Amino acid sequence: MNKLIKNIVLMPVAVLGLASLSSCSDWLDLKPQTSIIAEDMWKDQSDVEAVVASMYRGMIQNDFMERVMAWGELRSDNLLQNDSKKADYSATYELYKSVSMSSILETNSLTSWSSVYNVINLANYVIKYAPDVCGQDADYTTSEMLANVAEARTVRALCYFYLIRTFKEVPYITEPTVDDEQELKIAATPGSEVLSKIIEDLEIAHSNARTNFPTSSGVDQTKFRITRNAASALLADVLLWKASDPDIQNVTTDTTTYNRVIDLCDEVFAAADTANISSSIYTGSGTSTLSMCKTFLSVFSASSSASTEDIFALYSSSSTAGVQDPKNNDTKNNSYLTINKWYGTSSSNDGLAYVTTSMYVGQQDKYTLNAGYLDKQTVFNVAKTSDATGYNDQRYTYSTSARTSTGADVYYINKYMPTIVASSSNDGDAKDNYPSWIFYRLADIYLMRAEARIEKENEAHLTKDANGKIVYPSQIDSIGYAVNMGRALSDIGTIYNRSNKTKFITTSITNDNLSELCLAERRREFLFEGKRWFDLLRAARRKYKVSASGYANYVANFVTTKLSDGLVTSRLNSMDALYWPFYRDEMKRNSKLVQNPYYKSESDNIEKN
Amino acid sequence: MKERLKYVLLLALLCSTHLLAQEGGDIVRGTVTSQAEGPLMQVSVVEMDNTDRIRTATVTDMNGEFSLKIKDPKNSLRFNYVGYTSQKLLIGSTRVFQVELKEDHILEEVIVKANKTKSAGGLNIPDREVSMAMQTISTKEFEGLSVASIDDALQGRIAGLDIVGVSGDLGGGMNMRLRGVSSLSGNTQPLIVVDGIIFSANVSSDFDFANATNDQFAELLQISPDDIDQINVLKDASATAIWGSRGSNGVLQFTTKKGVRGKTKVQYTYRYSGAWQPQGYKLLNGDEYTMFMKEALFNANSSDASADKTPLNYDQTYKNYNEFNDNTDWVDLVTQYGQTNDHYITVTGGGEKARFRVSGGYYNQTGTVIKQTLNRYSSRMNLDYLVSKRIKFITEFSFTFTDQNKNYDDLLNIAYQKMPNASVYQEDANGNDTGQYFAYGAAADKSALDLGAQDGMVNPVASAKLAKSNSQEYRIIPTFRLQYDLLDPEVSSMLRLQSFISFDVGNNSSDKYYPKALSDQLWSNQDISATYYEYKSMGITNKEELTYQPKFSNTDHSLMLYGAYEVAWGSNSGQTIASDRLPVGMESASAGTYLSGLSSGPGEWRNMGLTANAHYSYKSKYNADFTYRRDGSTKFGKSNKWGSFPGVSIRWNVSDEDWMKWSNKWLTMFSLRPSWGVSGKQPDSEYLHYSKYSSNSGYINTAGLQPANIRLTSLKWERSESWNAGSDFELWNGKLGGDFNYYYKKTTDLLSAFAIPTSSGFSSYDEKNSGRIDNEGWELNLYTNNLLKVGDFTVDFNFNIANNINTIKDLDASVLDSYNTEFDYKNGTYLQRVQIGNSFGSIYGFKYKGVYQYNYYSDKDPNGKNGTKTYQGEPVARDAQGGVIFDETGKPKQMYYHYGDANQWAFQGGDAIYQDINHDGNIDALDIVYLGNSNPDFNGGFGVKFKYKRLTLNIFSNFRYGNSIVNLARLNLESMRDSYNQCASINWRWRKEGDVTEMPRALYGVGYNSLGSDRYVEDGSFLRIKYITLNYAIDPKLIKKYYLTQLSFYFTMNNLWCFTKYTGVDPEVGYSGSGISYDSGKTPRSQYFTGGISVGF
Repeated sequence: MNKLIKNIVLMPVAVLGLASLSSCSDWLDLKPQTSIIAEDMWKDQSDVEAVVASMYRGMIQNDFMERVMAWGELRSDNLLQNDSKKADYSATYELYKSVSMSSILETNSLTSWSSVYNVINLANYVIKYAPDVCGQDADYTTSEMLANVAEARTVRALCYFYLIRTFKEVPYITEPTVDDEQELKIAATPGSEVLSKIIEDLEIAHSNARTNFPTSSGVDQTKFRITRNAASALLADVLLWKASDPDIQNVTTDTTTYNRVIDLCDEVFAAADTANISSSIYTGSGTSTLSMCKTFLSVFSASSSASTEDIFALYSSSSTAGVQDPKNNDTKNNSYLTINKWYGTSSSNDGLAYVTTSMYVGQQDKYTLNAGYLDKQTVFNVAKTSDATGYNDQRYTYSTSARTSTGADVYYINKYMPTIVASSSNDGDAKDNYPSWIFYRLADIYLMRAEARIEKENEAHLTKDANGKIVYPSQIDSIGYAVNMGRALSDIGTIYNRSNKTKFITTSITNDNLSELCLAERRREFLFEGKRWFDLLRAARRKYKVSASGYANYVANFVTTKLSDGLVTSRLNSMDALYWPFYRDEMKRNSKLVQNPYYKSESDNIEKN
Repeated sequence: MKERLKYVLLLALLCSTHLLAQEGGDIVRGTVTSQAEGPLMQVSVVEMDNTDRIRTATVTDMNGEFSLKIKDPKNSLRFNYVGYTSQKLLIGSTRVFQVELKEDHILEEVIVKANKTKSAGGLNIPDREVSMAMQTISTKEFEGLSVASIDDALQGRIAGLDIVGVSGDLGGGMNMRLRGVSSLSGNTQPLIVVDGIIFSANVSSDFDFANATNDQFAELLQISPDDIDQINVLKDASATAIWGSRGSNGVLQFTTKKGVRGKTKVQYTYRYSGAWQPQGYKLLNGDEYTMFMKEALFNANSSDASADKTPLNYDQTYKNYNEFNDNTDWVDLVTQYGQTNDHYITVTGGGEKARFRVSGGYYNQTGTVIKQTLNRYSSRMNLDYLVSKRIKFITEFSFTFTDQNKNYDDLLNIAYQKMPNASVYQEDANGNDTGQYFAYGAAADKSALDLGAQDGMVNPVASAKLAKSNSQEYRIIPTFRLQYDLLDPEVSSMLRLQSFISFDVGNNSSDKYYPKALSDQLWSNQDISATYYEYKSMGITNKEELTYQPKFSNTDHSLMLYGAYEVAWGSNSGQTIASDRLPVGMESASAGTYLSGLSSGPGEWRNMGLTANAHYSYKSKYNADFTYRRDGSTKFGKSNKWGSFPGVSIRWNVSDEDWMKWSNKWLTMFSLRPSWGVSGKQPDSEYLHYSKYSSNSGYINTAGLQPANIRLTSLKWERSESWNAGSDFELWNGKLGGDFNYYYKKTTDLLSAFAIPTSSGFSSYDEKNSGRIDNEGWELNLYTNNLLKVGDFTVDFNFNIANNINTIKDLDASVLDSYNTEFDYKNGTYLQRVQIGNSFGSIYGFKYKGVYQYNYYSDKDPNGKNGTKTYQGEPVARDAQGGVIFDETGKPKQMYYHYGDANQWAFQGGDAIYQDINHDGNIDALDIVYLGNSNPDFNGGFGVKFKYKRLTLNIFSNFRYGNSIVNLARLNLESMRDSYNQCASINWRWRKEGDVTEMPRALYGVGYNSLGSDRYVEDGSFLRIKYITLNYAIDPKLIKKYYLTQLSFYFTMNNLWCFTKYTGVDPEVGYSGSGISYDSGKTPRSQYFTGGISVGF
């Protein structure tokens, strides 16, 4: 008995003691139950697909979308902050207002780039780890892997493209952040260097990307994921930006760049069905996989489907149960909520961004093709859906619905909700639209090709007078020039004609206002699509390129049309001021960042431990 | 022959086996009698072997007879009967026993003087050989006190243990800090150990300690204070090293009461307490409020129209006229007289073999704020059973169930803010209350209301009655222990194996509901919702301990060795259901309505530890202790999984030295104790060393996976190294005793969340070792033992005082930045600043200099008197000499607040004057100065105990000295910038040109009259008479005839008086995240009395 008890006592002690001592390190390895650890990851194709999905998911997050819109549109002459929404959006109203007024402080959280780098990091994961999967999953072919990597490269390029257009220079990171032993404080790389890396990435992606994706549960993924066409479109856009670089004063280089843009555009057209617009925009079928929509109206839809015209758009849907007021959108992250927040929903017609008539009055001369061709008052008079002269630009029906607020007439922006659904506003169940956010569509290809043709010829034929002032050739002095300008005009006309009953008439115009015409047509076509500020910036860079003084107040002259505030002019008077400051928090965290000189303030020099 | 021999042998063998068998199975019988009572019934008859282990047993019948089948005649029989001396007889060949038991001599009080021992968790070391810094207190000290949890009673009793009540709400919990704060993140509460088993729960990793409120600190609510026998507080690292990585905040060791040998005793205690809230701020009544609001609204932009708000107009044509013409005292309505009924019963007893103690408690409390109740059912069972002289089996079982009804809203706070002219109920046309609560906003015409903060403010009475916030908590801890002496301790050295396994089962739930009737929001608003939360956990701890105490022939030396191996593991899971759009009358979150939230989270944890402990003593004069703990944690990667925590301490009993003989008459004991040790801390979260991928809802129809963190490969244990120099002394044979400790604690590799460049794709490391904090201080503890004794009258004192200085030695810039926010130029906020070389808890703000008397500057004295002007009552810029600064046209420069900004503000008459430190005519961030620190210079307590025969009077006070508090409650009550109700002191406000006052004008929505300034930074020093207890025990002789053994009465007054200069309700304010004490008007600790009776039989 005594022995028995001794054994009873000692047995478990010994067993427990020995067992756990010998394997205690293993016993102390506890694996999480609600997540997968790296050791179990990157084993088969679905792992890659899941991270690729997260990458796109990162782009439809509100934080990301908000930056795409704030950086690309809010600062431009297209939008104003809606003062009547001040109370509803108390947290963000001031941030929007300061961007809209171009008085951006380094403390403005819209300067934070974390959501963009989140996507870059995810892309870096795919680029680094997808090749490993190839060897482990027999069903995952090399070409499938390369296609996934091409998607990641393109998305990464898109993100960096946004960053350098906004901040001029940013830390260029291509390694995924995995471990705390990695160096994370990285200095900014000059914009032109980042740009050449982007181009490298896109050239690789361009050759490896898929041309189409299968339809998944009724959704045609071809429009919503990166295809070869998407890579082409982005590359064309990137190259236009490169050619506008004021630091590259080499006509031959730029001509090569412009030619590549034209080639890329032609390549996209080759993949598209362009027959329907060659004769008349009203007779085409518009049903092909990639073709111009018959009407401007059908490009945008309130539901989560893509139009035939889209090349790359972000898919949105109310995927999570329970629709919320976009005001409280923190719990759900979906791009449409940002669009709804900015431009309003069917149930609450107005959003944070606004348009006033005064923004578009008095600025028409710059864009006039010839006197009397366009009604000066109707081009941007967004209030008019139809005017007596019959020059009815369809595109503005989607930014109308007038109402009178205190003082000036202000307008709802209805681009992303073609039909206003009447609803009782107090049922607490906002009837949101789920518009997709379009990055590139076929219309863009036309106008990019036009721009490339115009600028190529412009640059090649520019002269300067005795005072160093630019002289544009007043006459078409060469056949090539005439041909290119004529083609450019035809491309612009294609876009214009689709939305106007009165067709585009080509008369003699100077190349000077052909540039401006292209810019104006881009504004009319892509109003509120997050492109305007970058368009202005690109134009300003080109002005600067030919003459350091030529750009002065170029952007300011546009932006002041929406504001009577004289301060805005002074806030936009240097090239540096056209870029954004680094976010204060980021500066604190990364000691290697050097603030844009325009935003450096006295207080930065005060040492606060 | 041979054959025959074989048979004989075989037969003999058979016989012998038969005989042997017969011997073992023999039946013995007999009678047990006594001289006085004749045959004795129920006498226990036990067969025991030579190690006193019970083999068989029986009891005698009515006639005192017994029979028993014995195992071995070599064993003995023992006869036991309560009140008689036991007898032990060898069985041998006797089969019939006639036993006569003799009556026990009743002994008059035996004084046994045994060596008291102390333990830090390892060895039991004689009191005078303890070389570590620890302090022990017996709960006898708190007799007669009625507290919900023991930390309340402990407040002020332990030198160096700073305990601050979180709030006066029921189950409010206490914030405990031992020897200052040495950690940036996570739990700073000391570890709680009950009977050698860690009681502190493994809290889920997302629990935010820095911002935790109320009940989250109330863990000790799960132990009935009556079950606790004594508390041992381990202070220095050489003591806490035994608890390794969990002891870095200090350790509170609780020992529960055990069964006592002897007759079964029953004791019942009942205590009744009545509580009320101390006098708070005097607020405006309805009439004064509407007057003030109209003035504030008018002043904001000098327009009558802006002051035209229907609820303030007493307009009889307004449909809610009757509901807005009252003088409601909201504070009075939400407070009440709170009561506590505290029942406690315990049964204890046992014999030589077994001892037990069973207790049950029922604690029922209603709060001083309406609709708060706390019910606690607790039970504990301790059972010791001696299997044999060398084997002991112990089981412990504890069960607690706590059921708390809380308020959904912070009622008292709302009562302070709610407009007093509004009524509680909807009123009919004649002004009579209907039964319906009046919800401002819901019932009133919404468009007529535009009164800022009042618009959505709930009716606090309605909230108390209609909303629900219930939480329930079960905790069951069964423990099984075995103690086995591998060697016979009487013969040779002691080698003892102790082993226990303990289970800890917990279940929490909380059920909340907020009805539509309380809100002015739409029915579909998410605020109108029900939430149900459930959390269950299971933990298992197993520990094997081996103690070896060799017997030396030279008794001058004594050595004890101890080794232990501990493993603990557990899992938990939580689940939340939230739903809204509930139909009226439906209060359950799972009622199948609009589900707005559904989440669950499982967790798992494992710990492993190896401990070695040695104690050596030479003549008990020179003593040394050595501790080494090696802790394994699942929270670190391969290379840092194990942490080592050593501790060394020495004690030199100087008074034992021969050359100290001269002083032995008065200096009974004097010792010096230097010690050094290391303790550590692990991060709160698990799985940090993995690179994890979490799922998201993905894109289109593909579910997404994304990296969730940065793998922390280089993460290390947080390490606290501490030095302690201590001394114990006793004078005049222990009449006066005490101890003194000086310590220095250096915490390096501080664990903290760490912001990183977001260009990495992440915004932070979950944890990083990022700095160093030092704590330095001293503690003095004094006590007396029958200090003054005159006949039956004795007086005793106890006193303790402690001081701690906390210094941030090194902290990564990005961590500092997370504390150092930009000044936001808003009213009511203080600039947060944490600097290397300073401590946490520094307060910065403007200097308040009163109120501008006039709007415009005039160089003539407006009172018409000649001579130099003495006042500086205009808002103009002045230079360092006090001279007015003029511009080039001779106009005085206007005084501004953040000039040049969109929010610039020109000061006018009636506005607050802030000191323009740099004399630039502009009040901005550069005029912010240091205003004080929230860490006390000293804190402690003292008590005095008078005893006369059976009457005891015990008075105890605690104090804190030298800390500053930001009185945010008063700031809000005097800000006059929103529609909150205000303190009556604002009636003294500036109203017109020339008024001399310290109270600025009423200004709705604009102005900067309530900036964070020294106006609200107050000295939080206090001395509180915490309790006065009167205890009278009736002479047992008088009550013996009623079969009672004990009868005593208590009367206690708690929180009787608080001496302080602090103007708030209660100077006991805890610390917020960066160590600053903000008094935001939490429920103050109530004053209460307790009457109690304790009966034993």
